[in-house]
Amino acid sequence: FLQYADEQNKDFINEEGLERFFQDLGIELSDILTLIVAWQFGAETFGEFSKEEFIEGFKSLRCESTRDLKNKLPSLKAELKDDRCFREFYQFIFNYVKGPDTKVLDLNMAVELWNVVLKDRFKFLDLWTSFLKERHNKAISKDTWNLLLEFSKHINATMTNYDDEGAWPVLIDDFVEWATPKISSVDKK
Amino acid sequence: MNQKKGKIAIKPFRTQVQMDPKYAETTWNLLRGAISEIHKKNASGLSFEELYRNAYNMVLHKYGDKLYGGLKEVLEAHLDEVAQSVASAQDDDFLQVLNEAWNDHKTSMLMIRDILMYMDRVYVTQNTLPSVYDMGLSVFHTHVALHKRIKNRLLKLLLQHIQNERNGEPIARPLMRNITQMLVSLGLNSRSVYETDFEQHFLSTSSEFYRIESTHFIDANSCSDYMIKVENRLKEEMDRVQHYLDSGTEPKIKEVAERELITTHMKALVDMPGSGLVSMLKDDKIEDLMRMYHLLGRVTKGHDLMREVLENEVKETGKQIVTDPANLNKENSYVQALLNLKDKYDNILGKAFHNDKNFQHTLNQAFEFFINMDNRSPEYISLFIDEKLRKGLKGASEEETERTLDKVMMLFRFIQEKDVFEKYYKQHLAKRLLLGRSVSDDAERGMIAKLKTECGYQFTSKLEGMFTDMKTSSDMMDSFKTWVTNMDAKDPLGGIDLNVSVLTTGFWPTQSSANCILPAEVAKCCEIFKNFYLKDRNGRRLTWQTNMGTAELRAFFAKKHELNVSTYQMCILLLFNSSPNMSYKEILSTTGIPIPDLKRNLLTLSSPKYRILLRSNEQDKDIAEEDVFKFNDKFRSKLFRVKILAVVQKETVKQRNVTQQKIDEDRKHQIEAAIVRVMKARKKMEHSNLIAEVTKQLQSRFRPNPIIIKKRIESLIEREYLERSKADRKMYQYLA
Repeated sequence: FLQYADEQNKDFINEEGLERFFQDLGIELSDILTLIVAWQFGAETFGEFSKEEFIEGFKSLRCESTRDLKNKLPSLKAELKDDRCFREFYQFIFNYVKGPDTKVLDLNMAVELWNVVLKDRFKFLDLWTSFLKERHNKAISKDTWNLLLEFSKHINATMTNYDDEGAWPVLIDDFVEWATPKISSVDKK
Repeated sequence: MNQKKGKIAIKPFRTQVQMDPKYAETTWNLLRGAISEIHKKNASGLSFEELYRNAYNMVLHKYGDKLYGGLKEVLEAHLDEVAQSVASAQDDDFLQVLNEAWNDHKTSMLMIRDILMYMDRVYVTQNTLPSVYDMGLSVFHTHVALHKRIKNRLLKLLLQHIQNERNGEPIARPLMRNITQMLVSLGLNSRSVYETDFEQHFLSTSSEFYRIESTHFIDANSCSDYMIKVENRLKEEMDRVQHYLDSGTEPKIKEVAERELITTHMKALVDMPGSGLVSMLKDDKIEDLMRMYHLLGRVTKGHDLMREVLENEVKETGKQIVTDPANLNKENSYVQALLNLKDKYDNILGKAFHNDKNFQHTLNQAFEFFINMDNRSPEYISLFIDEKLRKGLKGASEEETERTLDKVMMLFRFIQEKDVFEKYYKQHLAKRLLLGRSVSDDAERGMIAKLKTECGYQFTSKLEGMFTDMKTSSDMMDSFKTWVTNMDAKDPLGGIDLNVSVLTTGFWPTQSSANCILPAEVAKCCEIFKNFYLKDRNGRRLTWQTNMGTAELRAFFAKKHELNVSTYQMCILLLFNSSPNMSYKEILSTTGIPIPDLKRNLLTLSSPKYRILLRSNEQDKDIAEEDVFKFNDKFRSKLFRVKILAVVQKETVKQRNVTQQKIDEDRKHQIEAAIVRVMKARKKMEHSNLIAEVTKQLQSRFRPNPIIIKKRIESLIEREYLERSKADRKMYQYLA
């Protein structure tokens, strides 16, 4: 294993160090890979790695150096094609980003995350984000976050297979109601 | 010659008595002649015994064929002749002639049968042929009834007679009866002849007849007249069947008549403007309604149609009452109108519809519909009861009270938002109890008992608590008074007669009590009471509810008067003891009464009705900051005792909104409590089942909106009381 000199503080890599770390890995900060790495490392707090997490992370990925890790990145990304894997990852980042103190995730952060993570996976992503900004304007609960993934997989292109009694969160009910006329008007065009 | 032993052998006759064909022929001719005579009604000269013997011999000697066949031929020939004579009869006599021929035939057949009885028993059974009599019947059938000049004429005449009778002409019923019975008999053991040759035609012509008649009737007649005519026609047909048709026809003609007279036209009948069901209901035409109920009850969907129209009518009427602006502002007329409507329809239901359960159900649905259309119904009903318990039932007998309250309870049952009613009832009851306004304690308790029966203990436990508090307080006042007299100081209360009601917080409707500053003399008394109370009851906290109290002031104008006022008003008025003029600002600061209450009370006190105070600015409707008030020593009133208390009023829109908010809050908690209760018991539950179960539990109080239930579920998930199952998003699990 390796101790990479990203440590400022003895036991933690903080934001700045993290930035450098990612730079060395060749990852942009806005890339989903940063989150993937965080996930694989089992990081607890957004924006920092503990020494333990760092070391264990490398170990579990069977990498000895940064270059190894860099090479491994594509395969990590590919792993996410598996549904179950992706779901774990998806649920992880909610907790990761919101932090341990609150129960909900700030709306803007959530939107950003979604744009990164659910791009190409959720056909109504743009509609969803505009809906939230227009109507909801509050933080996102864990329940909503988790169920949105299921929703994205379940809903069809015209939203006609939505089940009112399907125990979806009220927010998603409202979204479907709000979005359906917009979709049909788009279709007409 | 041989020598034979001389034995005599006795041998039986070798020759049997054979009937030789010639003899058979003779016998047959004899019989045939006899039959002929019988046919000519000339039987008296015949010897039964001889004929019987002859027939017997023939059969015995195996000439049964000849006998049977011969008989058939004879009958056929004879009946052909008969047919000719019947056919040649005029229309007028036709049936009569046929009837006679039939009777003659029967008579002669009987005789013939008797003669040929041996053949019937032996030859016929051996060869499974129709019996003599039956054979006679079928020959009559084929040769007479089906004769080409008889068959159709017969039918035509029968139908014509019936038609004539329907048109009011009398006809010969016995004759008709005989003919129809003849037809039945001709079918041997079935009704098939009767049916084919008569009944089916009868039914189809009757159907046609009634179709036309009913169409004319309904165009020319009012609903009730039409129904009377129908009733008569139906009775007539039943009568007809009984008198001269076969009984099997009864259900069939009934069906036809009912179909044409009732079913086809029932919609038009019911909907008939001016005389249809709706106008009958409006005008309480009991007899007509009863008739319609019976008539339409005969056909399928008849009652369904009635109920549909009834429901719409009641809903319409009810809706009008509920939305009528005249009623909206007078709660009493609103509720009274509803009660009147209920009475009206209960009456109709009982007298015209025989308390039919389905109709009862329909009425209930309709009532439920419009009573819940206006969300102020619960409030109004509570106000109505309040008025009755304060004034309306004064002097009423126990029965009358029971009856009035029972009627109101009936309306109560229809309310869906019973929790709203509870809230108002509590408020109104509190005022009644505290101001001592109840007309009768028994009536109050009676009302609560009824509510308890209807809604259970939970609903009324707080109300009963309120009663208990009043009783306890009254007892307590006695001991207080004793205690005061034993106090050291002379007249510690300063001549003030203090009366305290101690209210347990949980029972009484919560009001935000902004405390006002009591006048010194009053405050002193309150302190004394407080000490008295707390000395035995440590750990309790007393809060004076100045917004709910009352006072009696002795005031000196030109004459002495006693004023009944609220506590706030007392505070205001007592200020004028120290100075005749006070400005609004001064009053506000000295009494500390909340501004809206202060303004309201000042308005009341200076209003033209009770001009106890004079306002500097009489023109403005609202109190302005700069207003100054002066004690009006010229105040006059006819009564010694002047009541200035504002009685219970219905809420303003603003107040209503506040109440509604409180109710919504309460409901949220109730829903959550219900969800937790259910989940705790079941541990796991599927989404729609959970919603259904929660709704069921709460339905005696109000109808929860499924979306709200869903929101509550989500809130509980967030607070980690519940979680979604990992496997199935629709399944919830209880988290201990």
